Amino acid sequence: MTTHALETHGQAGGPGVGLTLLRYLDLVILAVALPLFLLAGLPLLGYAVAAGVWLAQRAINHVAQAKAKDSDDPRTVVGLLAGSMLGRGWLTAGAILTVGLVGAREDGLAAAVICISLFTIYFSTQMIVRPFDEPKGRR
Amino acid sequence: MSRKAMGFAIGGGILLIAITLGALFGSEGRNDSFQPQNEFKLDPWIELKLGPIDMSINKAVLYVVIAAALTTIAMVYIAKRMADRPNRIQTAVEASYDLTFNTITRGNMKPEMSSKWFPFVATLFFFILFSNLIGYVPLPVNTEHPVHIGGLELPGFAIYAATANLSIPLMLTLLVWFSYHYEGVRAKGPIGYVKGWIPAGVEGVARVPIFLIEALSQFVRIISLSVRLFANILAGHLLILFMGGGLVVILGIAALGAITLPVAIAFFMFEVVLIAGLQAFIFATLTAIYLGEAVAESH
Repeated sequence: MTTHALETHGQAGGPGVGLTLLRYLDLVILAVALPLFLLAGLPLLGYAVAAGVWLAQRAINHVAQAKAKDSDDPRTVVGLLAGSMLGRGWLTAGAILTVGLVGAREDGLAAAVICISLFTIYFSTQMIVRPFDEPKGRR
Repeated sequence: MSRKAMGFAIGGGILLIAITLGALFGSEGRNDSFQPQNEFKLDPWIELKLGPIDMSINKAVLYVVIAAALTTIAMVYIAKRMADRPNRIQTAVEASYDLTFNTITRGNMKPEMSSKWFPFVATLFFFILFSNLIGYVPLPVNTEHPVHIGGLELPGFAIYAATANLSIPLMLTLLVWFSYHYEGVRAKGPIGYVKGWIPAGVEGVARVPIFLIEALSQFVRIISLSVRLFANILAGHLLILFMGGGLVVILGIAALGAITLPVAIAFFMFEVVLIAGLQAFIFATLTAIYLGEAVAESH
């Protein structure tokens, strides 16, 4: 890697519109899915729970990432990220199970399909966006 | 609270939830209708038969096409970006170039040969990397178990990788195998190349068994190179499948999911972060080593 590339690393300014859109594409899709659910008469309880739990786990992830960035202790960083990952998975699975038991099974199924679809989008876009993220020491 | 105490508290909490769920829902009994091996079954989506050869389009073909498209996009992007002025994206691009050119290719063969074989080695690396990575993205490709929501029939989400099917790693291996033998024969001639398999310093009668072992090892490379990639990716997918719900469904014990789900997430991250890239790196590095070794002066 050239030192020139490293030196000019921070001069590129903020992230482009494309990258920002990719970063939040899952939330865009979540919003777009609402009118589709309303128009097609699909289980709204499933949608509501999936939307709630997805936004909650995104918020938890955001907080965990911010705390991990601020920490210099590798054990704390790993603990925060791994803990948040396991916790978010648990939270999502628990919410899907609960809505399936409390509401109709179709609500649970709808919530599961939405969450997995959003995960697919989120995971794919993260793989694209991640290499373009600024390294920790260069903020 | 210390880290150890927190770990015990989390573990205890999960166990408590599992016991509570077990007490509430019990066991539905063994489920024989779910066949985990069917997750890797290839149902033909578009039937295409050329005599005895089945060339039907199935999910494996889809994964190969996606991986090939991503590889092409990445390679073209890298090639174009190398000429641009350095910026943040350039750093990522240069890191990829540095790994594939300097570490993998040039580190294992002569400079003039590395320039020639770099596109091949880098393409292999990116193709396997993308194949492995998209293998962990849940895609709606399970046509055997569709889901029905509000009258809509949707294919079920599943994870599958082209490299979890032996035919892809085997074809890549054969490509590498024939390439390095071709390069060796071109550099030394057929007799010289075969003679070169015997390590320097081995004299007299000992040359015969050593030659046989070396000849055999050339064929064993076909198995080792292909099966290493295939088995690693297949094993990872099986672990995620069983821990992510397969075991719960087969045994009919829903409460078990409380314990196996975190394990599945841990396996998932391990596979994505380490195994996907590592296997691509190993395959590409061994390719470069075999190519470099085929033209080396002495074995």
